[in-house]
Amino acid sequence: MVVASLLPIPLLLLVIRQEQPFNMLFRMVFIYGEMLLLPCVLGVLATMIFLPETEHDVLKNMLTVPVGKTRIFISKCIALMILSIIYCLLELSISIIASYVVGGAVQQVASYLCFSILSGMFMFAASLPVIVFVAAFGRNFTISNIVSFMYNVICFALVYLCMGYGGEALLKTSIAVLPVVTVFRWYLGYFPVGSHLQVYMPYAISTAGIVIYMVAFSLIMLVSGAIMYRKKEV
Amino acid sequence: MSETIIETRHLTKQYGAQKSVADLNIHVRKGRIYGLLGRNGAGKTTAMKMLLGLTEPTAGEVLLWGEPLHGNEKKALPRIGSMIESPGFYPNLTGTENLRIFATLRGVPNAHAIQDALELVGLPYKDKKLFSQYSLGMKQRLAIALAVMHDPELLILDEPINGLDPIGIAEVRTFIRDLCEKRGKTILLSSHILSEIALLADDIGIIDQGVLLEEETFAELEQKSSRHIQFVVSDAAQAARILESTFHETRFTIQDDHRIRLHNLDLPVGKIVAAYVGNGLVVSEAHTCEETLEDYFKRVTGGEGIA
Repeated sequence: MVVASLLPIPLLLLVIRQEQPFNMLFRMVFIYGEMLLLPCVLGVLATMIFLPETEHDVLKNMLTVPVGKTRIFISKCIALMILSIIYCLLELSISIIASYVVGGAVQQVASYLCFSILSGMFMFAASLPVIVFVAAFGRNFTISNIVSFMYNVICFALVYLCMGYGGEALLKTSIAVLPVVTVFRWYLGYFPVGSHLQVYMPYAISTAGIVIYMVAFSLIMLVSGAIMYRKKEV
Repeated sequence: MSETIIETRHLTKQYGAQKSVADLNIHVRKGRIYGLLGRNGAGKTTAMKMLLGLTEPTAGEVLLWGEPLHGNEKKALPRIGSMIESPGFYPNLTGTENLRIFATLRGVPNAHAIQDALELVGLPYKDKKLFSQYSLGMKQRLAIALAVMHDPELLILDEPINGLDPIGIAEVRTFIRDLCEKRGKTILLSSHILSEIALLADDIGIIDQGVLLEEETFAELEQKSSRHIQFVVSDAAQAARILESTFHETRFTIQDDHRIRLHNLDLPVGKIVAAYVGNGLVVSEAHTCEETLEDYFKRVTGGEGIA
């Protein structure tokens, strides 16, 4: 959450001279704050939420209440999704405040608010592979955090490659259906983009399309995660 | 015969090629203390985990109050208080805060349940000390408090005196006894300390390498291991009749067709042997056994490891 609060400030320095500083600031905050950092943040949070009960033997006491393992897993995932949304809303809030400070106008706040809430949910869904790994297989804080970081780097690298030279070719491959890349494709279609990104417009995905995709992906991941979490020996 | 609260049928847990619990059939009766005695690594904790559904058995089944545990966890587990292995609590919370979480999860109606449980085990209520700062004895006491907080009918305690000082051990022993005798709880506890089991248990199960070697009342076990004269004869039934008719003695146990154990050491061995021989019996062995309970357990389990 500290990252969410502080990231817009140095980015503001890069956009301060722009005609619409908030617009550019928000885009940069989305790319670097959400697509780059949020999966790692969620991975670390998943480690902090799932591992202590295993490490400190609390889980066996909860299971004998009884509280089912599926219920524990799903409730923690819901908590992570809420934290993801809060992260995105916090970034939006700080960006709005920062823009007002430099005298920039903020328009269509409702649209940005809706985008932030949705992007929080979508990035949570995109981070589910690492969350499920931590929940089902995590035994050690260090290894779990390393896996979170590596997943984060790989995902962002793919998005970065899609944005750069030859990215169009990548978007024609199966990489385009990866969760984080799908979020990027949704972002392309949500806000008007500059002329240098118009070539990617055929690959943009609508909000309805990404909702269907993310719901299906999340269901698969949550069901698999719950099954693997239930099999974990106490 | 009192009702059986816990019954296991051919309960088995296998990890790869190794069976940590093999074909376990225990019977814990209502209102009694059952001591599961075994060496370290004998399978006591694994067995207890299967009784609570924490580990899936490879084979066999667990019956609680006559019903299978599998599928009835929501009905059975709220009636059980347990303490398995090391005490498990959130280290950054106090004892009271930890118990409050579990009281909320369990829906404990009594507003004073937490305070009562902490007082019972001698821990302060609303203390500011975090669980991470507790000594081992305090952690163990908090675990016992958690187990009894919701007033369960059945307690499953894995090595409850582990880490306690002698005064603490005596307190917990009295506390466990009172729970059984005054409040009618059924208690299954495990230990590798023979003296503690001997002081507490009404029924004993001896487990070694995952196998239940013996299960009987403590009184029966004492009788088995008491001082006696062991005879090996050609006809144990005839030997018994001779003891009754000639020596007017009934304190004996026929073990099989050829072995008879006489519990009265005051009778002259020479005269008994002479009476046997005079009645046509062949006497192969006659010797006095002075086996302590500890010797008996070592013999049954095949070695060291019981304190």
